[in-house]
Amino acid sequence: MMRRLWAHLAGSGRHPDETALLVAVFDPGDAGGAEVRRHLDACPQCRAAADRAIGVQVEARAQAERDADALFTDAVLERQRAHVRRRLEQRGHPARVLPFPLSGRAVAGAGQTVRRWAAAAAAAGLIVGAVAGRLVTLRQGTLPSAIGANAAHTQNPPPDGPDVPGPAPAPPNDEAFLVELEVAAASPRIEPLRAIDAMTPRINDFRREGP
Amino acid sequence: MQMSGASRAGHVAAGQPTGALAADVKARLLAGDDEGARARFDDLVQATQRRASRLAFYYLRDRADADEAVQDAFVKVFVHLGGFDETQSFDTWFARILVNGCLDRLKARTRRGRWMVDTPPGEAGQPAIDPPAMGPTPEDEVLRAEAARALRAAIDTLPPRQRDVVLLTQLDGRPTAEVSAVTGLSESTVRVHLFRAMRRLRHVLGATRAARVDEG
Repeated sequence: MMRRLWAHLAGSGRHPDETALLVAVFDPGDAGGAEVRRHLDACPQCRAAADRAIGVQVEARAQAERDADALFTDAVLERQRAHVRRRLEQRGHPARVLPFPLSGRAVAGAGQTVRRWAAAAAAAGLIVGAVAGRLVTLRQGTLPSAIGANAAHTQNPPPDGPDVPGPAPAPPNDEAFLVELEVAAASPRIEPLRAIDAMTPRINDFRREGP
Repeated sequence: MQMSGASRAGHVAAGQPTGALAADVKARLLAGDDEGARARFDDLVQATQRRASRLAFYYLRDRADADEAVQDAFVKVFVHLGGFDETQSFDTWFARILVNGCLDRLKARTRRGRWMVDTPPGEAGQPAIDPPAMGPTPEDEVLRAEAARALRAAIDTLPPRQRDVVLLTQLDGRPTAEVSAVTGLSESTVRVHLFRAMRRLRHVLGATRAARVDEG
């Protein structure tokens, strides 16, 4: 195909086609371009055009090299070599698994403090919840709450009674829980949550709307 | 033709051809001298990394991406060096690995591009640092520099195969026979791609016809 193209493009006694001229110049190994190259030796106009194209190509390559070399400085290449060295040294060794807090700290950066506070708050909430739950249990004997009564009923079966199934466990007493919530909601420390609380439906709302 | 100069670059480190360095590393690897092989491989990396980084950057136009592609290629070369055929050119073999890696990265980038918002022009795909100023030069040199920039921009718009052939022959300075070995295309196919690329690029390569008409 290329041979036929050359025969067509190079012509005889005419200026070669631009593409044929460029390929002949930029691919000196192509035997098909020999005729064009001979023409260049004899035709100053085509020679000048070829030289212009070569000038552009040479400048393009020089620009490309300058751009790349401006980025890949000696220091960058040294770092690149160090990375390759390290990767080859680590070849065959199992990957090192970082413990969770370390990996989090490495990635967190500026958000590190915020995450630490969030974790502390979560932990504090857990502790407060556990302590509060324990307190409720302790107060069961002194407060006349339904929770205490129900718990006493289910947790303390008659010690010496017959082994018969006891009454079914009573449903949890929501009222007592809600009372606790009301008390907590009355605290001035959570004033901003009152709006959310106002939007929260009460158990009686469901009872009223029930079937 | 100016290909030979760039082609020579990177072939020699401290007077030793890369082929000989590669053969030395291979011999050490086969002898079980892993540490010695790594030390010699470091010399091989030093001898080839600048040209490799340039080539990867021509493809990827992103420093970090090109850097990673070059590192990956070196690691891959070291891993497979035991099976390297020393009768073949090390540079060609290495370039093939590197170019394939770059093409894989370009494909991955295209896939990501389908799902992510494009960055504004000028932020991606362009060198992070402007080329150094050329200083005061005659007008023809300025015009040639402009044409060269236009040529490089036009190369980026070529179809992938044509772009590969032009990058490897015109910017990386490899003869078509070597490009054939790097790309896996036959030499005549490489020439067809080069021919078609030149047809597309002829206007930015100096407006040869217009110049001849003016002069003729």
